[in-house]
Amino acid sequence: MNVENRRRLRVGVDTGGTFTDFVILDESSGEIDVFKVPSTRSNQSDAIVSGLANYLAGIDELADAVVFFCHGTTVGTNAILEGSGARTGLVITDGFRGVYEVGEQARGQGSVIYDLFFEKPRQLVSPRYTEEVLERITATGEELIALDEDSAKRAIEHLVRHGAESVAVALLFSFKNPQHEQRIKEIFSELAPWIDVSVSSDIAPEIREYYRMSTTVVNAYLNPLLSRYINRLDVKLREIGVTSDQRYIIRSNGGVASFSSAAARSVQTILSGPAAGVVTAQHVAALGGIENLVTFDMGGTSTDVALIRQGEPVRRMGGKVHSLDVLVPMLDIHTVAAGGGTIAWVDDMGVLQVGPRSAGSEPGPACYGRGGVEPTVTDANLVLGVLSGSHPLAGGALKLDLELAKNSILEKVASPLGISVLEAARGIIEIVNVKMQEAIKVVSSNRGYDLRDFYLFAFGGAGPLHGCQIAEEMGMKGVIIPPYPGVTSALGLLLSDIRHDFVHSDLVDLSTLAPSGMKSIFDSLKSKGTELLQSEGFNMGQCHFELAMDLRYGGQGYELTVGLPELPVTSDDLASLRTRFDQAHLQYTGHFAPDEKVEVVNYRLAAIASVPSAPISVSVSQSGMVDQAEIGRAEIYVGRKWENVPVYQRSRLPVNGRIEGPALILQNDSTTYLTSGQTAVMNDRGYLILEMSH
Amino acid sequence: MDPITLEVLGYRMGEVVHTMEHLLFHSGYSPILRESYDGSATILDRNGYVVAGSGAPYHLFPYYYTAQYIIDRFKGEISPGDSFMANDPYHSGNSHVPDMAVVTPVFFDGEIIAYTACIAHKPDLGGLVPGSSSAGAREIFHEGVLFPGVRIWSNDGINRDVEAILRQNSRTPDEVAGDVRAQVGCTQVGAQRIVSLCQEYSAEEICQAFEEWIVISQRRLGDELEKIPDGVGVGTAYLDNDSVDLDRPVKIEVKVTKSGSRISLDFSGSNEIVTGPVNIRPQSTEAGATLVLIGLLDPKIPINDGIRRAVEFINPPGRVTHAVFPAPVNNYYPTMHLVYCSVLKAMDQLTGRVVAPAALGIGGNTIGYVKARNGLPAVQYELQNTSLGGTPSNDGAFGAMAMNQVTPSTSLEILETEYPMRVTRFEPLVDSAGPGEFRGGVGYVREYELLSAAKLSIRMGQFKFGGWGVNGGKGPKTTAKAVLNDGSDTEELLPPLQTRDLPSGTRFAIKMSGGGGYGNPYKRDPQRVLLDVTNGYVSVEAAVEDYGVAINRDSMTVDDEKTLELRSNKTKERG
Repeated sequence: MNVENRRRLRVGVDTGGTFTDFVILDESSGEIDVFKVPSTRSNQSDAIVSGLANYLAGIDELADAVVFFCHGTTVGTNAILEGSGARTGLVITDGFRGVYEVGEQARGQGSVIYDLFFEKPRQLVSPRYTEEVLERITATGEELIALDEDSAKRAIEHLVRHGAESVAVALLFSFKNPQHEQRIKEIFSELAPWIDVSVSSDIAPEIREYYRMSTTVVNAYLNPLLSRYINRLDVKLREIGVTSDQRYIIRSNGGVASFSSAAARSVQTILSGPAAGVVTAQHVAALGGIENLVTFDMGGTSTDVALIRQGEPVRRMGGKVHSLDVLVPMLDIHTVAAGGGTIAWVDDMGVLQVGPRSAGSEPGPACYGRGGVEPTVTDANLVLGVLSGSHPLAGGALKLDLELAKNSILEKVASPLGISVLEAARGIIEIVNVKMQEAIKVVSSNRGYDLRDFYLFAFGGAGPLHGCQIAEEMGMKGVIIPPYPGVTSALGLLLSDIRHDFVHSDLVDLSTLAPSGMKSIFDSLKSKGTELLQSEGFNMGQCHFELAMDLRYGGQGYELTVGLPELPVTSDDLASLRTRFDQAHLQYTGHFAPDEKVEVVNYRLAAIASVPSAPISVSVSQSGMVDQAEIGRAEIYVGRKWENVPVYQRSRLPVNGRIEGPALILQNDSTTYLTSGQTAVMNDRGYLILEMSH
Repeated sequence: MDPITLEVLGYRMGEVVHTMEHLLFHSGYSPILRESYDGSATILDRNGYVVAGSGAPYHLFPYYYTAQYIIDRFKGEISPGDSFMANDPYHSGNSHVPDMAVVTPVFFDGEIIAYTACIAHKPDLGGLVPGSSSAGAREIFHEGVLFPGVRIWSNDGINRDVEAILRQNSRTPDEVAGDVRAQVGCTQVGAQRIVSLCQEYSAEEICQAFEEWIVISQRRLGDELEKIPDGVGVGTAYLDNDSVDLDRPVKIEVKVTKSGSRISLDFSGSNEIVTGPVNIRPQSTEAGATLVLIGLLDPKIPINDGIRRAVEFINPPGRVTHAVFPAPVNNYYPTMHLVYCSVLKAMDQLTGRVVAPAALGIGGNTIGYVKARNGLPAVQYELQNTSLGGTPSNDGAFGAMAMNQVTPSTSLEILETEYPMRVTRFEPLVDSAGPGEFRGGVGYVREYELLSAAKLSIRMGQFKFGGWGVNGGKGPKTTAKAVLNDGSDTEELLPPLQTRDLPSGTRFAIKMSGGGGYGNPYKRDPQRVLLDVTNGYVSVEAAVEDYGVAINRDSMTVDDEKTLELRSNKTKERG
């Protein structure tokens, strides 16, 4: 093979609970390959590296053809859920143990708030690994008590003796003046250089000590694990010959970061897994001229939803992830424990419940015949005929047994409720659909957005099966089903820009702000961003910056984030900022105060480098008839009666081919279910589009 | 209605309430609302019965009484776009004057089909002291400006006259006016959401679901009551005093009679009404009492009017648990918490499901500054709650509230940024929890240093009478305290209810007691006692004395031999 003909491959790998999904783009031909391999639980990198090596061998290509590698991982999420993070210490200001140990004090929502037997969620740092140092910074950032280095040294010695692998340093008002925190970090590097140190003024330099501290603790808890994981992946990729400088991990904010940046700020990768799907949706929206989407990624154990408005995914600056408080920018992704493997059961009040437990991939739904006895959403779909034993799941890997599905529903749901198996199956689907609707509302109507203006972007193995019905019930504008629903998330890894977020907190009255003052703050954030991007090997021609400010009315305590045009800032920009803030406030909260003072709380800057991206279209046959795509008929139970509906093979549908529901559309990695009255059209990019008229 | 539709609507209504609450907290102005979340939101049916609640659940009864008053007073005069405001504990249904309710009708096809409402604690509505709640109050007229239920909003926007009265009667007019605007905003967003649900379903279905939820909650509470033995239990507890007659404790007594699915709570044995502001209105008594029943029997029962209907109250006017006009009621919270604890004690005698009470001595405190950091007068108001009691399976949670479960503690950095003060300590207090096989959650100390002169109103409960343990568990050894200039020559203990002018530089500390213990402390796993010692929750001395566990200070390990000896000796002593 001569060098000129060598291929340049861009590789996206998304690790899920069951499968590791690959999308590989050949830069020269613009074509993509997609495939799945079983995930390896002990170390996710094993499946990645062997899957990639086998693929390369299969196409007779050397590993140095891989010029770009990007990965979505669930290592951080799993470590939190399983409690397998590092032994973590915490260094705080003397006298303030209550901040972390009390935490929020409030108990969240639901029945837990009345419960006399209430237990708090486990904290990541035990009080005995919490060390106090003498020091104090004031609210204005002045040093009230100098750092007592002896107390810092004693704290470090104590943590070393207790075997801490990682330490969070979170002192009061460090976002105003980080000197004490930084000095403690230095002392750590002198006395115990093997300990991973996370410092709150680096990780989350914002007011409200508990949230800053909690974020820093989560970072410290995950850092050793994530950096070990990334290092191992790095070494193994090099071993097989993947040596490109452009190796990235996608973060919770949808941007990608170099292996080393990701390893240093692990708190930013908790939502790495679901973030890539949102990135894909954003690109699809841009390509199709569709501004408003709700992403709907329904897999085996959970469903992730997010909102894209006017082409931009909604972001949040912090919140709870797996009951931990983190204050880092992330896509506003909401996850609900409802997927194909979610278990249906009857509670002791005789009420049908679906979830939150899942049968996972082992033993899986009853119909998998792997020993599962509890009925799942997949079993209900099989009983209702929208899934079929003769049209296997996951590209033929899984055969479904109808009798096993029926028996499990009969025994666990229908008999206890005294209803038929069919009615029970119908109930299971209705309830799981409602749960997913509620998840969709959390990111849409609860934020004041009207779903009638939004399309549902349905993907993940089970998304197209439930999506059309859900969108209709919620009165959405339509549904978009991408060409490869099962690997849509992985595709996003070849679309993500490199994005770093920076924040500067400084409370001032907006009306007193001069463009020059703002400019100097944004300039300093910008130079940090520039430096970081250059260190990752980007030239400034590839880079741009996004600016935003967190604003509130004087006296309020929470802010709305309002975007700004690129620098330099003019006084016109400031005036329009004010108006846009008033309008955003009215839309969100139902009230506004155009005559009142507005305060600036934070300045935000995102430094972004663009990378060549994968095509998100596939070619579709220009001619041919829809009838030729019909491959059979199926009996499905809908509206309390059986109906005979056509079954289509998606790959045979021509451009502009129209399918009237009720109908099933099959493809290797998913089944689309159109209900009665719905019409799907295959567009010229390979997307199925449903327009709904209400 | 078919159960699946009913459940679907239940989720949807829950989301409406949560959205209202979120908007209330996140667009409010006063720190008590936006940082301490002292407020709640709810949906009521067209008759003013609560159907779906959120936030502070002890507002259930205040919502009911407030809505009844407004519906009655404005019968036939309510128009689309209206919102009403009420805070009068006697005419409308609030627990005390600072709790301001906003009620907004939901119109569909020209008919009222529901109401949305919210309550938010105001930093100041006038009265004798900053924060409005004074130990010196002797009648309701000393406790701030009263709005029995007035139209604050209409289609034309805010009622400028009412707003002017509100503002002129507050030491913090901007915060109060901003909060009321946030309240109206959140109820109106909630009302719009219910209207769109009526469009999606139908108003008839929505109203039918309202009725059914109430029936279901009533039935579920009745079913749970069926499961416990019939009988009578009596719970008694004491407030230190009413802040007027300092030597006379104030008794709260409840007699619980349970028969089949019925339960009656009789407060006739409680103290007669007192001069100081520790009396409470029936809405507070009823709320505190029913919260225990829910928490103990089944916390999953949705809180709505069905709960109110399932319980009979005997609470004659003229008791401290049933204040009569114009008695002062501003310090209702510690009294309501004692009602809660007394009912818990009485229920212990009836059910096998028992937990130790949360820490006593809770309440709030208010610091009024002539000039805050922004140059304006300001009121710093914080709730002080600590920890839960031990349960049959776990230690009481530290830093979790018994009644005010949705209220976070205020960020110290926010406090120091907004007020001329500094926090000097916020940490757990060693040996503050009741010992037990499962101990209470520990108490804490929180100390402030004033950076300007200020007026402090302390509004807490029992500093003299502490909590208790159950099933062999012990009460905490120390009670709550409020201390000026702790550890110095000028140290001074404060009573639970007092207003003081303090000079700049004064330090003011709250030292909270912990929760009660559950079960014999000698049965506690010695390794857990060791963990408590290394975590700084129990001292080495208390490990010996309270738990019979000897700990080697050098190696920080349990001395098994000595422990065995201690525990057998103590068992003998007891035997």
